[in-house]
Amino acid sequence: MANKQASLGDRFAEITVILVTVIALAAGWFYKSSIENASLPFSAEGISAEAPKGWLQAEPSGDVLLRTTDINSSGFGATYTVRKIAIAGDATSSEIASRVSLEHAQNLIAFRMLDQREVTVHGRDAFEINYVFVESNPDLTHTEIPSVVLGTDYVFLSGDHAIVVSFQADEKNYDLDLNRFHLFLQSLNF
Amino acid sequence: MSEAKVIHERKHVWRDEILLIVSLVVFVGIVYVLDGAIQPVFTPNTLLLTGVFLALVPAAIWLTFFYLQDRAEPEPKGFVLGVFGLGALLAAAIGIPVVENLFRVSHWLRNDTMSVILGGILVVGFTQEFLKYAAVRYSIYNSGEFDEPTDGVIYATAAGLGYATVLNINFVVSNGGVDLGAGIIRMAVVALAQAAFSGITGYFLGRAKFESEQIWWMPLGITLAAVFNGVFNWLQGIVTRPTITLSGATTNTWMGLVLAAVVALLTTGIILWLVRRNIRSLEAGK
Amino acid sequence: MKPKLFKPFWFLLTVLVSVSLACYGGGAPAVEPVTPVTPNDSPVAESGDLSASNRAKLISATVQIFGLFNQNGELIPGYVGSGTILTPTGLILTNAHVASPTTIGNPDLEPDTLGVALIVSEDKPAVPSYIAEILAVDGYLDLAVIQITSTVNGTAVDINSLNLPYVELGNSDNVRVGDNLNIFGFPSIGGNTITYTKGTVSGFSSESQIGDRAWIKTDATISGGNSGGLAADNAGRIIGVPTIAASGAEGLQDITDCRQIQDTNGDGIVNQNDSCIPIGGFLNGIRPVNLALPLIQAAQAGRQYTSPFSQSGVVSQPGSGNESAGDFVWLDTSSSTAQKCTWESNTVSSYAASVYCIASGFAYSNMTDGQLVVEYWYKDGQKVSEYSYAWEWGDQGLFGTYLPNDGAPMPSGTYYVELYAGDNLNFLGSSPQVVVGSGSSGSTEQPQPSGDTATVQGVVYDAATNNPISGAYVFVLTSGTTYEQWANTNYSDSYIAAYLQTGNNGAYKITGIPRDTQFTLVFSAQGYYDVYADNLVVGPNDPAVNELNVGLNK
Repeated sequence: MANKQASLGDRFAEITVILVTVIALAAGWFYKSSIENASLPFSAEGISAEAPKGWLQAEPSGDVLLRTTDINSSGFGATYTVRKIAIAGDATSSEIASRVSLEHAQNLIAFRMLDQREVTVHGRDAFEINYVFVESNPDLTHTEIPSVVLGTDYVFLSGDHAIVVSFQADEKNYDLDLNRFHLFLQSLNF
Repeated sequence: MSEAKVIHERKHVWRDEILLIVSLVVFVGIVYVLDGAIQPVFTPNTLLLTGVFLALVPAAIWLTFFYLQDRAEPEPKGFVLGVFGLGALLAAAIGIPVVENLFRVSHWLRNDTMSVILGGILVVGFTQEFLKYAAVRYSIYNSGEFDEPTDGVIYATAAGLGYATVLNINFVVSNGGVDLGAGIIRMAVVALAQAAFSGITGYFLGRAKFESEQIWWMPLGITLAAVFNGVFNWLQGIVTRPTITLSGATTNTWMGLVLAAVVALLTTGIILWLVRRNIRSLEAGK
Repeated sequence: MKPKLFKPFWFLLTVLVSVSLACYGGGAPAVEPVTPVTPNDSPVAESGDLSASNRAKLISATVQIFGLFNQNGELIPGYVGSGTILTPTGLILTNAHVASPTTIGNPDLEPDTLGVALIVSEDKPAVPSYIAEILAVDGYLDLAVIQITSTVNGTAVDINSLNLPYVELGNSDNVRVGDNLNIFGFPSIGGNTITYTKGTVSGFSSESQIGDRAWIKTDATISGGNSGGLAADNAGRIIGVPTIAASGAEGLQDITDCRQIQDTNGDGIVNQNDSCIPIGGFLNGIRPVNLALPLIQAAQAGRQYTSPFSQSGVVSQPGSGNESAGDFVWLDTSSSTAQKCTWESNTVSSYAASVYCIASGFAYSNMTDGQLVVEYWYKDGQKVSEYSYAWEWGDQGLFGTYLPNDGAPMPSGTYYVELYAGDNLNFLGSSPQVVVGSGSSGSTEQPQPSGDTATVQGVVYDAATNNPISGAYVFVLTSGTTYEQWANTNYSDSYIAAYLQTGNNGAYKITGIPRDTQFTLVFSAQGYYDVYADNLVVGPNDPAVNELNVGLNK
């Protein structure tokens, strides 16, 4: 039998292989997104959101209504926090932001504010603060290198309360996880 | 090409495949025992270098057998080595970045059984199998050196081992050196699996070239290889999962090698049977 | 029984500072002066503007001061003011109403502690960095000297190695009308950056107790948060403190511009019931720095400072001098919750170990509203708490007061309370001793029968490389919960009895696992299959320490 040279049929077969691969990868991408963006409804004290599914989720305590951590991220697990803080009627979001940053400064190691500004995020006015801190396990038996964590807080005003939504993630993963956070932020209702 | 050329099976191909499987398992055993007995002390750099060296061993074994036994019927050695290199290159340049950085499988793949299987087939399986197919299809496939159906298996295995070698080097380097005893098992598993699934693609490629197959023939081959790939990874996860009791956890890493060896033998056996049947039917129809 | 309107525990605590001030009982540590501060008398070269280098120096030495309130264990800022660093060791001059509102008659505003924010960059908000304590305060002058003592995380600082930027003292007696004034401060809360205001000296005003130069008047408009900030001459020396004319001063209005910006009583909303925080408004006066010299010198020498000026309307009403309290009883607090201490009218002779607070009732007479009352609480003979407040419940009656333990059950021990009143802290009376729980003194931990609990420890490693996995999670699930059940609840917190992350060496250690109790262990790390063991039980004969090294697979 002859050694068949590249025929028309071969050409088609070749294209079909590429096509099938592209379809499979596209399906894989959608499947990946569906897992990563899968959410569970969360609701507490008049605030509702679609929290990421499969994350470690803390029960509400005090003014922290939601604290959820991605245990599948390396280093400092990506964490979303939603807090509801009582404020004065005429307080501005920048005042609350400064209060929040002071709390961070007290609680976090090597806290540094990177920048802050008024923004409109998903149609809402908010005050955004970006910061960085170092997370190291306080347990002295642990000898790991501390991780550098980037954080972003959005302060929304809602009547006599401020809603502070935080996103903190390991420096390495911050950009990768930011889209997921905005999906969460978009789902936020109060 | 000569009309008179007889289509025949290159018998040594199967010997090589089976020798690869057996000698890999033996080699792993030797390294494992030696590592345990001598407990060599390495500096981080020598550990890394030794790891990388071990990563090259599976491919080296196969290539050695291939070259030793191919004297009677010299296959152009340069082409086999070239396809091996191409498979390695595609793995390093496209395969690993796509799977790990673009799809970020470590972040979601091991979520649950469903994601292990689906992600393993759609993302990992298709990426790997397509690239190994491409290493053959866009290099040697249209040349005269691909002149028998069995050549598909040979070249695809070379591409698969190239891919596996890069996966293993990446495994060693990204872990900053590995424990040799445990690491060699994992490397042998990857080499066996990649070679076995490439064999499937190779069989389909061989038939695609020498027979007028339907348009779905080659896509079917890639898909089959990808499915095997994904299911194999899922099974690996199951058989190697340790059992925990308070007195300790079992280490089931060896089970992974057993699984890989069995899968590789079965795959090789089935392909062998298919190729033989195919050749017989071709000869009968001549 | 006349119930007392109890403010939350933390708030009572806030008045602690004012007690030490009111009675000048000391406690402020002597600060060894590294750079003796003396006024600089050299003549001021009145040429043009403040030089850029002086401006930079003044900016970096201006600090933002937060009044911090402890709310449920968290320090939240209540109000904000400014201050000026006088020495590299962190001695700061500010207003008394910034450092201690009690001294100007606002005990409700007394913060638990003071935070100091330093400027890192002019265009950035000041970075909260340090905690300071008061060394000297004069409510009449509305001046205070405070000292940085620890970082904002609570680590003590070595003040001699602080090496902070500071401002030299000028001589405010040399200031003449028409001289330039450079005013630095933080106008308000809210991430605002430092503000620089220029003006000239427009005059002086006198007060009978102080003399001709009680105030430097200026044409510059200084907004509220600048209180306590820095007014400097063109040579870059501090000549005064921008000050809201306070209640002690003649002819000047009270601090009226204050507002509720914090949920100070913790009821979840901010309203008129919360403390009013002076924040806005405009300052019209500058306290000459020479008036602050006695405070600065006292602070540096480690001496107590006593104001030579008389004030009215502040906490320390002298009182009648023959106050008394007696008939102390202990009241039933079993209906209290972690959040709120309540008590019944029936008396008790001892408390169960589970009570959240203990309460004492007594009869009082000859009290004067506004006078200082101090409670000392003792446990096993040692003082454990000290509350002080201005009296506001009339001259005689019945009174109830309580000791909480921050929402936790009271530690076992023997308790009693002592009551003092007036400027001189006359002893009014003391309660009988009462036993809480077993009454065992010392360690509150019950001695555990040895071997009662077990430990599981080990290393989590990569089965393919034998390398340890750092940051792997180890979860202990609640009794009876399997891994599948937990996964089906989206890994809810409520099923986690404990969890930890492994260190660099992959090590973990779980202690205190009760015997004969089911628990589920889960090992999880990014990119690895979860490994778990459902319903493990440490039997009575199992060893106390169980080594469990777990290899994870990719």
